[in-house]
Amino acid sequence: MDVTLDGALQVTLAGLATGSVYALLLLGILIVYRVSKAVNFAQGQLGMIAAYVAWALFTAGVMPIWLALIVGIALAALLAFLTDRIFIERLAKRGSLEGQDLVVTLGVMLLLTAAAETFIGSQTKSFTPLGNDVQFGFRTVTLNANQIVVLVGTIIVLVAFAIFLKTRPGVAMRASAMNPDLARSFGVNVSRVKAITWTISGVLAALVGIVLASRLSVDPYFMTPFLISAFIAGIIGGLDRFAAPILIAFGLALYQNWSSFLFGSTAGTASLFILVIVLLAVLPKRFLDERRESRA
Amino acid sequence: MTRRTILIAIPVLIVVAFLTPTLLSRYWLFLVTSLLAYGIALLGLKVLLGDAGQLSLGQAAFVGIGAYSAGILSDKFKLTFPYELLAVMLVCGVIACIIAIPALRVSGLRFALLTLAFGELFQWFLREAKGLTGGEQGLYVPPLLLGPIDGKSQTTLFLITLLLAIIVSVLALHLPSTKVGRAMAAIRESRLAAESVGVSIWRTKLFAFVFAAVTAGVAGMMIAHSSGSLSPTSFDLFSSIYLIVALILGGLRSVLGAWIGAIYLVIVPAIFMQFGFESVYVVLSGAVLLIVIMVFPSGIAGVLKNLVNRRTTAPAVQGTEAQG
Repeated sequence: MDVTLDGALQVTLAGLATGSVYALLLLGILIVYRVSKAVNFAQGQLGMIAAYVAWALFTAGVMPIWLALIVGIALAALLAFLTDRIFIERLAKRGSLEGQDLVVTLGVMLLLTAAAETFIGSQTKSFTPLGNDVQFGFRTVTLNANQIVVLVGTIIVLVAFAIFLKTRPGVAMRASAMNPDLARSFGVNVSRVKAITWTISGVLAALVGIVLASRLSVDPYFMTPFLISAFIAGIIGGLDRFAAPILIAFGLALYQNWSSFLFGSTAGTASLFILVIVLLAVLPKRFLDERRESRA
Repeated sequence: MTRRTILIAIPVLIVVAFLTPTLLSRYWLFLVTSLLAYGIALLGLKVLLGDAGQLSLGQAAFVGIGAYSAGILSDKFKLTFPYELLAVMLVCGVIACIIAIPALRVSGLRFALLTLAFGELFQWFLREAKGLTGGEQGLYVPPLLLGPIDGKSQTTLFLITLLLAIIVSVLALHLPSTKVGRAMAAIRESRLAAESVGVSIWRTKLFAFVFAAVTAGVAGMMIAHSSGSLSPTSFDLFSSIYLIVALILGGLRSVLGAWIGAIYLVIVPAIFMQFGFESVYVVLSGAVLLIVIMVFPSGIAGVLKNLVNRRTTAPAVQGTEAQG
């Protein structure tokens, strides 16, 4: 196959657009892991619920699209908040119960999936396009408004987050993650920091869910491959860091796009998982040592 | 296991083996056979997750490897039952050893991710290698080849699966008193201490991983012959998650827990389906998992054990369960 400059640019830009979706989804997982040491398997399904509810409200004619989207986002934020308050925070207070956070978020994931299947149905649906039909072209390279907004929006969110980490509340968040008791003695309300972090991660999940639902035809499982990719980036980069996993998320999307461009779309899936196995098999052990992870 | 329990267990099992096929309809006999097969897979997972502490998201893929290799071997090579069983165990064992090379270097979440990647690759293979696996259309599985005995009969399948289930249960019950079982307990207690007295963590984990893979394969083989056809979705990531959910629900650390998990996995959905509440079951399974993990972290088997203890010991122990 001939790879032209325009073709290469197109694949790379589309890859970056996908990468920003992975990065946003992963950011929600990372901030939650940072404060609660919990891996949130439900992150994808929170986004799915947000998109489904927004779409159902909009098509029922109850409210305009912008209000429906806000309700969807608020619902995901609320569900994330409740997951923390009802389950994770209580488990944390109970003491060392290794691995149970995984089970709880798995339970939330199954519950949300089942709720969507029961109340909205498991058939494939098409949502309202949000700017996917507005094309911007340069020579033969085209991106739609949706991709451009998400790419630029993600970069703004990431930069804002990097600045936030240096501010007072950002330091409070890092402190309560690193040493909760010490943070408490300096007057940080650790429990409130956790609740706020979970809520924000719910908002991030909702944004990703809505963006993807507007691009694809969806069923209750449409977030799974994106969640898997985000987790791959997170686990290889290290869930206790920020820069490395986010960069890997972008790299992963580029790798996927390029391998399906060069070898066909079915090869894209396989090459991703082969990459994971090879990376974990050959990376030096020093890099793989999980610093603070003692579970399982 | 004491001698007394063995003396009670043997006649009970013989009665069960003879009565079940005569009392149950063909459909329920099929369900009980599936229950026994999934119980075998869950016992393997219990050793891997409960005893060795490795969270695998690829257990359903090994069930699938067993099922598909049983289907292909009995169709293309006309292997009779004992040879087919050995071949399936060998295939699963060898694949597990290969996966173990990268998988056992890493631990915790990275191990989970690696087994997930393996499971997804297996799914990809099932869908792409259509000539061998039938792709999304599925694969037809011929009945067991048993020489003069009728391999199509559900009763025969039930009796063979029961026998295999008893063997695997006895192995799992006996494990804690073996050297490798004690090594697992020592590693659970303290990795460093275990290593310092010469326990090989790598070898212990390898044993658990291969044991889980081989039992999953045997389970898959019986599922394949019992259901007669296979499709990729029965062995995907969600199936692996459901196996984990069932085991945690039953109780991670006990053989009884694995069997309670199997009942939850096979019989409970069938009962819901009979009364037309299929969708209730899926909602319920998430909710039940959340309740169990919050209220009874040691699973249903743990609750039962507490109840028995409470009855046999002094009432002074009341209230210990709440902290559990």
